[in-house]
Amino acid sequence: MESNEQHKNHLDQGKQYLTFVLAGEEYAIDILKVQEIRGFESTTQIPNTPEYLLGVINLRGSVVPIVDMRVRFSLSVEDSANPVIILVKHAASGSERIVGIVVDAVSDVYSISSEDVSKTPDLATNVVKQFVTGLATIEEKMIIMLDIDSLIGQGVLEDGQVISEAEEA
Amino acid sequence: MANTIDLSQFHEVFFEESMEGLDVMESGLLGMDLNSPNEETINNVFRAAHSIKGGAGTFGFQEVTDYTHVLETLLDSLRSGELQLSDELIQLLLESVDFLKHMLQECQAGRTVSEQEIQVQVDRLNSFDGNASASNSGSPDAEPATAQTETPAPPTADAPWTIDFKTTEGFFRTGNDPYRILRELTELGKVNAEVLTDKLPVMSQLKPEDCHLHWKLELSNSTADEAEIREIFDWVIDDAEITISRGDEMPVKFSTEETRDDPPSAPNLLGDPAETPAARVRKEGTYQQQTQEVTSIRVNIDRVDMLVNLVGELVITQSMISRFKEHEATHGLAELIRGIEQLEENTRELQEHTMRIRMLPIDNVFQRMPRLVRDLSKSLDKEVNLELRGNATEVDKTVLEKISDPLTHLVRNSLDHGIETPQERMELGKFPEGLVEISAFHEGGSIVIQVKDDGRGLNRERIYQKAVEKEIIEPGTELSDSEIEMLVFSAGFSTATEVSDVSGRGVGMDVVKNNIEQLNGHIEVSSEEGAGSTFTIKLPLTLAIIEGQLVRVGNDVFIVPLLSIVKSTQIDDEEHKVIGGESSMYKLEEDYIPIVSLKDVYRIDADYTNATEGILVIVDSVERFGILVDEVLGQQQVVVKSLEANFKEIPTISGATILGDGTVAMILDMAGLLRESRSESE
Repeated sequence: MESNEQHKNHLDQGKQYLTFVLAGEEYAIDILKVQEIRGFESTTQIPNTPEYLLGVINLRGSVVPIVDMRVRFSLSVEDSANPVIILVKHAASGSERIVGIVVDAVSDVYSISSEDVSKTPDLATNVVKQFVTGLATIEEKMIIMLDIDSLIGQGVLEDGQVISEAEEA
Repeated sequence: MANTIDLSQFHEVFFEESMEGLDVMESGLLGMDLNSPNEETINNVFRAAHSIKGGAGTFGFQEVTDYTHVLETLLDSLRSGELQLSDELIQLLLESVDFLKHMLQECQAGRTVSEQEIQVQVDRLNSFDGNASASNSGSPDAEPATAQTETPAPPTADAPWTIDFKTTEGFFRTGNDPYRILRELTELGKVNAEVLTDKLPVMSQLKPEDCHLHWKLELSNSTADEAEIREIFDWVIDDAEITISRGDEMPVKFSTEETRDDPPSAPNLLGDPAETPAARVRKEGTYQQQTQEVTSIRVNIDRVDMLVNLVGELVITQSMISRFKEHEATHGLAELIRGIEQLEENTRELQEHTMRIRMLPIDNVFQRMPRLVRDLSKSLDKEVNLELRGNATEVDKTVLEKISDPLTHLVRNSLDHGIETPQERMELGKFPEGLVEISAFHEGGSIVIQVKDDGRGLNRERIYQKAVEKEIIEPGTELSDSEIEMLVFSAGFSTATEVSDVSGRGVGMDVVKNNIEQLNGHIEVSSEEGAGSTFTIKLPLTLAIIEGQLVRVGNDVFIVPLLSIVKSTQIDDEEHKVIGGESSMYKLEEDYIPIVSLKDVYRIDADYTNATEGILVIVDSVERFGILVDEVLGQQQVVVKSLEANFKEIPTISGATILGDGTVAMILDMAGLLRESRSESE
């Protein structure tokens, strides 16, 4: 990871992002949203939930839902050798929730400033588009910048049944 | 205030304590016997009002202080016998308790009550005062000093006041500061203070938290009368013995009876109308009270929940370890197995005691009932005696909060539909007063609450007719007595001919039943026509841990709350009917109950293909139905984990839990499951 060493010199600019690999592409999410990274473990299904919702796991006593990003983005679920669960924090209606996402592998930590990010080309039409904030080019690699908050908010917590204010209160 | 402590941090405690004070007032007022009022009860009510006033003053809720002051004045005239206790007065006082509660709630929410609103209430209190007793003007600030019994003391304005200020050891524990009192006293005149150290123990026995000092105070050059001096000490009278005397007078002990005979009024040099001591002095028999040992502490509920959670974790860990008791690896390790067994026992005990922390006596809910019954019976023109039993029965705090509404509704229902009017009762040869009895007790691992009345009971024929009218059942359906009675819990059912504001909007008993089921509980009714009905609620002791039955469908393990299971059985062809090739029914005794197949509802794999291959777990919820599973596994205590904490509510699932092997299992919600399976098959 020599290239990474070089890159660390630029760390003072921009925010830090964690990147992960999903069907060969590299995606970046805000590192401050990441709570921890775990090896894959089997989940307990939750009945009548979308297919991409793998189920829940026991995270040190609390029950955490897990989203399979490959299914979410309608990518082919090839058996990745070691899928990984990234646990991200999602602040919703005052309380913080933890949701896990399953990815093929965790890649790297980059510092990306807003100048490095170009807008998403218009041709992208699939589900990915609404959660992509832009594309960044780092070391000649294209990295897809993900808005993890809206991804979890729209896909996981609000799917089907809306969590109404009344229930929260 | 000279100190810089942010008082707002104590607001919560003030509100909590004030609410408790209001409860004391309310129950005191309700318990008062009009003919021979108990002096101690009146005092209790007065004291509660007084502490609210004091607290409100300290925390700067001026309007609460002012209003409570007016209320206190009224209470005081009652206490001194100037006012006669009457039904109207009690009603007025109860309403003022309500208003005070309203004011406090507004303060708590950071809002204020409009001045007009307060004025209206103040006027009500004052005008009552005026009508009932000419000798008392009732106005808070302009009490004329003309109470008949007073004969003004000889004007000895120059003679200094001598005040013996004897603190008790616990003086500091209630947050008292002698310095503050002395400082306030200096505002009345020149103060000479002598510290008495005779009670100071030797250094080795000195407890820094105790107060060992006493003061002999001399107040000279003062125009103050005794009442003013006493007012300064008003805050500490519970923790100190105070004797006030002037010149050569016999020392006046701080107690009402004496002051009443012994005229305390100082000459009124300023010409201001002095406040009648009667309105000021608190009558508590004696002001020297023994310091009560602190037997309870206030702890933030979050901390308790944290503890409960951790114990929950421990229970899980323990069940993880316990699995190894039968494991080969531990063969021959007798000591390890003994250790595990001991751990099991300790964990269970620890869990039990931790759960108890969250337990509160059901009295908290019961307390509201006398008021409810009183108000309702008035508006319904019925005479009802209420009996409460088992007030000390302890329930989980969450259960307590949620049981209040259903219970209120049941009591309303009993009064409205159950108890007959006095005339009807006389004609039937019953006592004109109806009886409603609410009792709570523990039975096994659950708590049972019963609401029983001796009214007309349920009219099964009418219920049946009504159910047919409302299309709840098909005409001609054959139902047993108890099934007919259970119909009152169906949605959209209400037998009240007239819609009163009390009950009978058709959103009654089904809501009650729903609420109770949300608590994993169960409600039944039994009734004898003409003799009354009994509603029995059965609830789990706690919501954090439930007794669960583990069932397996394919590879998935689910948990059915044990409390709702009637029985589990294998089905043979005889008992199994398929209607229209779709919905299957099971013949339970004389009835057909629907079968809910988890395989179909959840679209998961199961071993069974035919209902007769599975096991039917018969549960009793909104109605009886069977859940078809592959296998019934063990029963165990499960710690309920919320799915909403990180996810959202899922219909048919009431929560999740973590099993001994660390995996998550879903806890089934009976009512939701039945609903879901119905909408599925439509």
